[in-house]
Amino acid sequence: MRLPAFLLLCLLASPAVVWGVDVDVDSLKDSFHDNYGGVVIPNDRFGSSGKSTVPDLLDDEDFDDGADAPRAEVADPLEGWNRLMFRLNDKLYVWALRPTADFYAEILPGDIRGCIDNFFTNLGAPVRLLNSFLQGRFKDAGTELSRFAINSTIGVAGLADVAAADFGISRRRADFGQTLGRYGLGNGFFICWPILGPSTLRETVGTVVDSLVNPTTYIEKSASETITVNAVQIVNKLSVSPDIYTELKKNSLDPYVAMRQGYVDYRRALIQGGKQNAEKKTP
Amino acid sequence: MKNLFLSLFMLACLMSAPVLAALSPTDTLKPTLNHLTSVLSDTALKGDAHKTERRAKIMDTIKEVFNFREMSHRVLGPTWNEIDAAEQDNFTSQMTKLLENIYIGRLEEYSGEEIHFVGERIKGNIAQVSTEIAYQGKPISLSYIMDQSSGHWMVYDISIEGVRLVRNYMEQFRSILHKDKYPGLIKMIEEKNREYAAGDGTK
Repeated sequence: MRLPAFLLLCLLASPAVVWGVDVDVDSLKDSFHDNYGGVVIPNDRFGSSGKSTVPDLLDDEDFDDGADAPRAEVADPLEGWNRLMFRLNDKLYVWALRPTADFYAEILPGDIRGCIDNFFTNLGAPVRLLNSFLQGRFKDAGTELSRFAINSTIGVAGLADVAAADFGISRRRADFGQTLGRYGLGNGFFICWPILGPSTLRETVGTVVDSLVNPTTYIEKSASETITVNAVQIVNKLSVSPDIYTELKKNSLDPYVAMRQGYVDYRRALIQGGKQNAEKKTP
Repeated sequence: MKNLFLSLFMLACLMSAPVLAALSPTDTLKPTLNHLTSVLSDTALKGDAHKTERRAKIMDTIKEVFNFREMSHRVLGPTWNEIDAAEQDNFTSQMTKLLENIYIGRLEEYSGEEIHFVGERIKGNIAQVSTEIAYQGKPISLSYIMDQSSGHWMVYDISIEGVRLVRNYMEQFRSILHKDKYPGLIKMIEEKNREYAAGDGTK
């Protein structure tokens, strides 16, 4: 496959723009349910009975006093190239994407931007449905199916997230990278793609596979239309997301390593959450 | 009768000591977080005029359960044992300052949202207490990673949506230590802290 075509495919596939740490507003909104398997535990303590579906953050923790040599979290054989791409993306972000998103946010009211975001999110439902199934998260798959049905009809083609707002059914995060991780496939190594930002070998494969399931791949005809749709998607996503990238840059001594580690940690927590959710016995 | 009361009192004292020592991670964290939210909601401490006083109060509060020395130890890895005690103290104070600059800025955005305790997990001598808090109207997950190196449960890392704060710095420092060794690293941290101080001054 030619590289531009591949990149286009990646662009198409990106359900969430991965600038800096991939935390978009939707994931902020829904992550509690997504990561924790949709179980809201009452606000009181329940001891350490192991009933919780909160991702286990201790599984990779050393039990010593922390004085052992820390392990590399992700292999990075392409570090030189990745750092170059990171700088390129930084310029692109600072000089083009952020100002565009800010301008866009000024001319378009937040409600409309929210609707556009909902629309693209709704189109990602088949990806989440399929991957929930593949991960054995049948309850989540059912949830995604009902969300898709509700939002596509009452929600007027997905413009409103009625399922979350009125029915209290929030989005479940599921993608093919997570599916591969759930069955034990490692990250491979870290890759910083131009425009797309941080990824790993596993996540890149996941992104490409998900793009084949995403309807936007098949709706578009010409390449310029494809680019337009994806540009709108990216700019819109940025305009409704908190500026995490700028924060990350400001607060770190080595922004590249901070971004790499943040991305890998974030993905691992998502995979952990999904896995625990699949293993949870339905009562 | 007096003696009975006295001995009962003594007995109660004796019994409460091990109870205190056996406080669960959540029970250790809860009072401090409650205290913290009351400091953050205190209208008398709001605004730039009270910044120094407010920050000092916040730091005093979180130091009850945040083990900054353990954080510094972990963030430096094996290098911690290669520097002398004075350097360890200096590093701890600079690292505390750095985390204060990063973490407290976030905390100051707090506006009365309720902290929900959603889970606790203990594995050997480490524990994870997970909470959920609204940020800009959306719930985000915030977990505290704790250990008992100080004799009771104390926080040595926090995780925001799975992204670990101290571990993130550990990875950054590792790459800096590899290139510039410890003197280079401490210089960079001091420089960063000066940047924050200057940034605050111009606000």
